[in-house]
This record gives sequence, structure tokens and C-alpha cells, in this order.
Amino acid sequence: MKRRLVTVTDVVLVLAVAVAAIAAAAAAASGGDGLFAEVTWEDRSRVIDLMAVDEEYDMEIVSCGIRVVLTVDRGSIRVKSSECPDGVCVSAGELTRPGQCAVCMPARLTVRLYGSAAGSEVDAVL
Amino acid sequence: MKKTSIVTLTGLLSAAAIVLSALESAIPTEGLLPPGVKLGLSNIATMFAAFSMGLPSAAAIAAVKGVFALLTRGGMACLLSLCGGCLSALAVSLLARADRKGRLGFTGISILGALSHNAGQLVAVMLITSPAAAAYGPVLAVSAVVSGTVTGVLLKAVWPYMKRIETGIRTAARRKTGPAHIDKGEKHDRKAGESRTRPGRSET
Repeated sequence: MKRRLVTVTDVVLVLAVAVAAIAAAAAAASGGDGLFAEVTWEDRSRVIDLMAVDEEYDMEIVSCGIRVVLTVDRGSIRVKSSECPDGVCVSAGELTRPGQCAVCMPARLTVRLYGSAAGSEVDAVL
Repeated sequence: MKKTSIVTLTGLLSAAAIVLSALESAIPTEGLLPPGVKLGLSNIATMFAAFSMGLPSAAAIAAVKGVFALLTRGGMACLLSLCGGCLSALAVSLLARADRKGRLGFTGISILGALSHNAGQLVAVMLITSPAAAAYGPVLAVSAVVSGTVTGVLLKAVWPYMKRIETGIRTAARRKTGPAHIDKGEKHDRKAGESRTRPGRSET
């Protein structure tokens, strides 16, 4: 049996994945006009209302022995620096839209943006 | 296929997988690919193993890659490599066996392998950090399609050469029990005391 490089099924598969991915991204990006950042690390989590930020400030978190510095500004949040060996979190860049996220695996830290406070799982908003 | 051939070919492919994985980390992807995403060239070796020898060999290669990741990049990288590699090896092995008719092309199977690889890693990340990491899902799905296509095309391209290596290994393994029997295609078990190099004669 000689297997071909591309078949009709392959094309259908690619289209299905593309549609599913776009739908999921759209669903994650919807749900509110606000912009909230949920930062989760170790057992803790904190929600920041990015639209209520007046001045840019740095937030330092030590998670699993790794120091991570986040820069919070009006309408955006980014991982400024991290002591982790990978640097994937820093290269995620600036997060500005709901549905975006940055993850630091060694520090077990995630930053995720939501359109409304109800979108995150935390009750209190700081 | 003889056990010797399987072990030899799997070892060869494991080495190839490690070299490919080391090479692709040397390619800078900062502006081109999303952070944390790689091309997955080493999966060419894993897929060939899955096609020609099945799940045990493919899983063995994934395990070797995991150990390599442990030694060079640490425990976290090892865990992620194993989660992605084992799920992907399982998926491709099952697909290779189930799709004998060839309904899926090399690209399709490769994309499904890449999707399962990324899915396995995403689940691991979500369990370790938080479910919020699922937000990266769509990005990983699309990049799996791209990297799956690249590895599928490359696999098809190198397939004849790798098949030739496989045949060479099989032939060499058979040759151990006597050269004359290769031509006739006979199976010949050496009796105790029979010469290895001159069949039909005793060692003494």
C-alpha cells in the first residue's frame, strides 16, 4: 500500500481544526467589555482590573522559588522578567485582549485575561 | 522482524530524534512561532518507528527523548516531553494500524500526531499551573497543523531512504546465521556446535 502525501480526509481535518480553533478563540475573547487579568501562582490567585489602573506599576511574585516580575498598565499586562530557565513567559509579550495568556511553567504561574470579572473563577476583585 | 533488527533500528531512530530535536532548538523562532512552540522535527523518527515497528518502538523513542530532555533541560522539560511524546506515539501507532487503506495521507497522520502531542502537553501544563492555561489551546491547535504538515512532507520525502536502511538492517541481522541462506530465503536455525560462518559444518 502506497500512502499518499495529502488526501481529501487530510484537508477536511485541517479545516475542522481551523474552524474549531477560531470558534474557541472567539468564545474566549468575548464576554464583557472590561479587561481583567487573573494571575494564578502556587495556591493563590489575584484578579486585577486593568481598566482601573492609573499608573504603570510592577508586581513582583515569588512562586516556587522563582521571582517573576509583572508590569501592569492600563489595558495591558506583561511578564517583564522571570528567573526561569525557559523565558517562554517573557516572550509571550504584552497581553491586551481577553483570552490571551502567558504561562511560566517552572514557576507554575499563569496570567490570563478576561472580558469580565465573572469570567474568572475568583470571587474577590482587588 | 527479528528482535535484533527492531532494537537496532529503534536505537538508530532514537539517535536521529535526539539530533533533530537539538538542531531545531538552535533555530530562532522568536518572531515566527508562538512562544513555547517548536517544529517537532524529531517526530519524523518517531512516526517512522510507529509505521514500521509499531507502538513499543515509538514509545521507546519518546522515552529516550524524555531522558535527553531531563539531562539537558531539567525535570519540567522531561515531563512535558514525555506527556506529548507518549500520547503522540500512541496516536500515530493506532492510526498507522487502523488506516491500512490509506484514507489519511502522511500529512493527515502527522497533523493528528502533532495535535495529540500538543494536547498531551497542554493537559500537563493545566494540571501543573491552572486550567487558565487552556487559553493557549487554539494557538497550539493551529501550530500543530503547521508543524504536522512540515513533518508529514519531510517524512514522505525521506521514507524511501529510511526503508532502505531498515532493509539493510534486516538483511544484516539474517546474515548472522549464514550467508548462503539469504539467497534462497530459507529459514535456518543453527544446531548446537554448527559453525556460524560455514553452515553445514561443525565448529570442531
